Amino acid sequence: MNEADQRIEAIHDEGLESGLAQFDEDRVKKIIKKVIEEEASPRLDAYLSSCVHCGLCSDSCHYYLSRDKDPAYSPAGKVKESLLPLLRGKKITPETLKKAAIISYTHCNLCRRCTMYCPLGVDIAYLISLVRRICYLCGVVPLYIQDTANSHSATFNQMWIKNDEWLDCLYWQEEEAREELPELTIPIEREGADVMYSVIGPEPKFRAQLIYQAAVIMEKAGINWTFPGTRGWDNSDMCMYTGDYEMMGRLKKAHFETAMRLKVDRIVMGECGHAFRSVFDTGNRYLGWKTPPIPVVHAVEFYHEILTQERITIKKKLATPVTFHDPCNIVRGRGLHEMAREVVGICCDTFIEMEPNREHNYCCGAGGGVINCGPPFKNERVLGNRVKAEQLLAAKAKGAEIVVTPCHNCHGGLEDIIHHYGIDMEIKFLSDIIYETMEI
Amino acid sequence: MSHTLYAFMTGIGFQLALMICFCGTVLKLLLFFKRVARKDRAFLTFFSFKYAGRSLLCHLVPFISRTSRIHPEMTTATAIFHGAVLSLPLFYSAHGVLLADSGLPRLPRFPEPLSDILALAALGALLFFLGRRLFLRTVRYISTPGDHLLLFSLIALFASGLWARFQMPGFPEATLIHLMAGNLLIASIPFTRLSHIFYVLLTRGYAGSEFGGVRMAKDW
Amino acid sequence: MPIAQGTSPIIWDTSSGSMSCMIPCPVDAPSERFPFWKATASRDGTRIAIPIQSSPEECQLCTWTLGEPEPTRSEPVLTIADLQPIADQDFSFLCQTDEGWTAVARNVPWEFQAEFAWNLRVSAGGNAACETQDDRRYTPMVNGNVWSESYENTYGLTLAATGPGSAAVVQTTPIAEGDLTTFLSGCFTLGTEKGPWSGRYMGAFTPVISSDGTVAAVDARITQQDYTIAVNDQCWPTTWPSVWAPVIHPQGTSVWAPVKESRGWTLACDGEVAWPGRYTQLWEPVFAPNGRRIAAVASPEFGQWTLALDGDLMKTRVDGYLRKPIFSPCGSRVGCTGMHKGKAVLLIDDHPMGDLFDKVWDPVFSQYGSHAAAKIKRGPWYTVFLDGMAIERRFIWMRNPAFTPDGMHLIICGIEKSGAHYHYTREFIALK
Ligand code: SF4
Ligand code: SF4
Repeated sequence: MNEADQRIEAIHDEGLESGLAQFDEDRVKKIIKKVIEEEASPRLDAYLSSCVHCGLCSDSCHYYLSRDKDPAYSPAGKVKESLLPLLRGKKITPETLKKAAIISYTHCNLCRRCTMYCPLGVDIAYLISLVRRICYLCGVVPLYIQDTANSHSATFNQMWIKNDEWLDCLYWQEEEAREELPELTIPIEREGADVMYSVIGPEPKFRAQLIYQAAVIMEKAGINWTFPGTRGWDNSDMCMYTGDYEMMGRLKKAHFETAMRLKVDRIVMGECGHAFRSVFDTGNRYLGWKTPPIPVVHAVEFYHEILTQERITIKKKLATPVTFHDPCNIVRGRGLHEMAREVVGICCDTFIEMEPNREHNYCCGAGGGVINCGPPFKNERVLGNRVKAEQLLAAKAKGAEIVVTPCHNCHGGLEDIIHHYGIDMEIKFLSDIIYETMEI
Repeated sequence: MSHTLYAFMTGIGFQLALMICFCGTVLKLLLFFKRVARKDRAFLTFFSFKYAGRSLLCHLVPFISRTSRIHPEMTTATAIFHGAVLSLPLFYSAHGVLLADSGLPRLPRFPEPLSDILALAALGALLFFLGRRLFLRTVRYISTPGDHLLLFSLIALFASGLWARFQMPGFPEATLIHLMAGNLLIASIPFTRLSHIFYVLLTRGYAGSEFGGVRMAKDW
Repeated sequence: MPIAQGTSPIIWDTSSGSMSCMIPCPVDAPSERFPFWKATASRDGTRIAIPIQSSPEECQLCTWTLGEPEPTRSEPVLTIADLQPIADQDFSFLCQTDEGWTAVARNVPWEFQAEFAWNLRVSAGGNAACETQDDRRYTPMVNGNVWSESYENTYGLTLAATGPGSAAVVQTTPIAEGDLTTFLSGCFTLGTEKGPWSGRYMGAFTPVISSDGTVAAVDARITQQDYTIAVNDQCWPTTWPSVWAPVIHPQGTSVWAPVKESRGWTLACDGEVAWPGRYTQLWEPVFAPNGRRIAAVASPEFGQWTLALDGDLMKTRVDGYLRKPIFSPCGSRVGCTGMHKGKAVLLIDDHPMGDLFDKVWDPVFSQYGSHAAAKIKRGPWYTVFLDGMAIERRFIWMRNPAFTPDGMHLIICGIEKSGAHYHYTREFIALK
């Protein structure tokens, strides 16, 4: 048994185990058949039959690179170990399914970097998502991410936040902000506003200062904006990552419906990557919308707009040297890397690049729902992203003290990496540095 | 016996192989688009010739994409092999004669030394591929018996071709092996990994379309 | 949170001419900060209320009445939320004071004080309800009376249009974070003022209740992968991989809902598939008030949207989205709003109307469907779009237009700027 297999064997996760306790081979086979016949794109067949097993995708994956080029972590290797046994194996055992679940949920960030490195354009992230879909339908999903998906089902947000708690947080942040800007309002349910601002569950729960900062930025930029007061305020989506596409659709419908009901021109969303993926191409398509029915603008794009139009002005640039981590979902997922650099340039004196960067940047290791799978998989996630630590250390050696990244998941991922590898760096959102440096 | 076999391989056998290849490819593509229309409307909606073309170009021309730059040996070998395997069947002089005999218009012909060098280099590239499959841990890990069989068929094709070309002892048999391998490979295109020849237009093309047209990012 | 959707036809006092009153711009507030977006007019249009910040901590509800020079001001409170009209001339809202939250309906504050109150609902019949939280227990209230039971959480409180009934999704058991088993065992159901249903579901989403309050239904998640519709505590026998919110026949005789079959979405009635077509998407079914027709938003093809009326697709296709259809009171006409090529559209009986506005609100129809009107926004101004033409007025705020019950007049209420001040106007427009 190779090392990767031993690690998989050693994992004990309540969610996986309770799902596997119900294991029934016939049912699993039926589910696989249904997914392949009714749901899977024929791209699946095209990918599997044209992959020439050349291994060129390997060097693109941070897991592979960080695990001393262990082939079990190469993109094609992961497909071989997770998808193929489900599709082609004569016998499917609970072990097969468990292994497929662990690999698909926790050894791949669905970061799509490998698609850029496979000459044939095999979309490994798509193949891994199919494995997740099968595992979800079989009820074999890691506990923590399933719990988050349950929260989505129960409350339509990621953090079990009830409606009064959401509103309470907005009133509280408004009160706080009024001490700084007595005129400030956090408009709730302002019908006909230009912008609906949407965030992810952790903002009201743990990082309420981000709501405060956003309100100050909106106020100073003179934006006619609003927060929804109902379900639909949260744009996050772990159901997309567990493979629960029905629930994903329900969440995205609630989100867009809210924007339609409020008659806004566009949705500006906070600094989150996976939520952007969910509203920008995955969730909307599942529902039948080619593009988001209400235009969605990521915070990076929005900050770029208000800074370049000089709707807010920077008082004094940040003197501390910063580096920038490109979040996959808005860089490979939307090409916002140049805009982000311009925003950083406007707010900071010294900018130091990490290598490789832009579309070629390594994932933070938290994306694709991997961090949401929780403590049983944390070690794997951090050790599986040594290359990120090396990137950060190199930037640090050149003087960078702050790493800026406009994504909540990246914050979580980088925090763990910085902590584990003992890198003395601070992590900030773009809104942190804008708020710090802007004229108020 | 060997004469009849030779005649078959260059005649009906060859035509049959082409037919199978052609029909198989058409069938595979038809099935692909039928299923796409039913299950993956996004594919049709977002496929963009502009971005597909851009992506294909950047990945086909050696040393444009980052992946090709970080693996220069592999890029060189791949370029040589693909150059040879796509050009020699049409432009090697002896092939040209055979093709002309079966009624095809006369194609330009490579000078002999060029064909020889190309074939030898391709053989070298194939051995390099074999080396990777056998000795690189990562490639070995994902290689299947089918991959080896395919590689051996290709090596056999080029080796026997060269053998016949230089009329080394036993070259009539080598010729037969060459013809057989060639025909089999042509016929197997739609049903094996060789299908990447046409699927690449769709797979790479779609990746390029999504990256370029929807996500506004480069994919090379 | 509810938004006042136009007015329901009631007996109007007078339909002669227009009336207006002045809203002086408060000296201490710069005009662009005057919160007109919070304004609400009474149903008959004779009064307009705006919550105004009187100090950084406090606000007051200022109400202007046509014909009276001075507004009335409520006692100062910490917060005013969910302001909306109730009955003909009154308002209802939620307000926060130092003691907690309460609701005010028809100028009378309810007796309870809760830690929090939200989602104020007002029915056409004049009932008011809201959801409250006190001591981490969640209890909806109707007309000042608490429901018989309180819950772990409530969601989507809705009131019967005319009758006294109310319904909401309720969570009956607490779910600790990370407790998959309890979640899977089913912690949600539909609750009414009388108590929860006996069935427990893994999830319940959009409660609906018939206008007399006798039938309630909800789209429920039965297992992780199966959904169905529950009606009066009884699940439909069939399940689907997904369903959308149901709609109850106006007479309460049947329940309909979009369901996802393997070949696409279709409409089911009382547990059985009722429409032959299968669509990429199908949702927001609505009955005509007389119950003779049913319309829904359908996507016949990826990225294309249209209305399906009694199972037949309309011809107009839009590429953005369509909102819930609206029938005329007589049921003969149907309209809806949406987006096409990035521009707002209004669809009336399969005829698209666009280009004349940037935003458009749900259309209203006269009693017999001979006229259609909608509130629209062009640039910064609001006005009314009546039978295909925009009325040349520039309101900085307006509420949805309404037809008088006799169908002779359209009533529009809005605020215009005149000089340093603002005028609130109620105007009757004679129809031909
Ligand atoms: S983590 Fe990223 S690079 Fe690695 S296999 Fe998954 S999608 Fe590919
Ligand atoms: S996925 Fe692409 S790069 Fe990876 S082995 Fe297959 S063909 Fe090669």
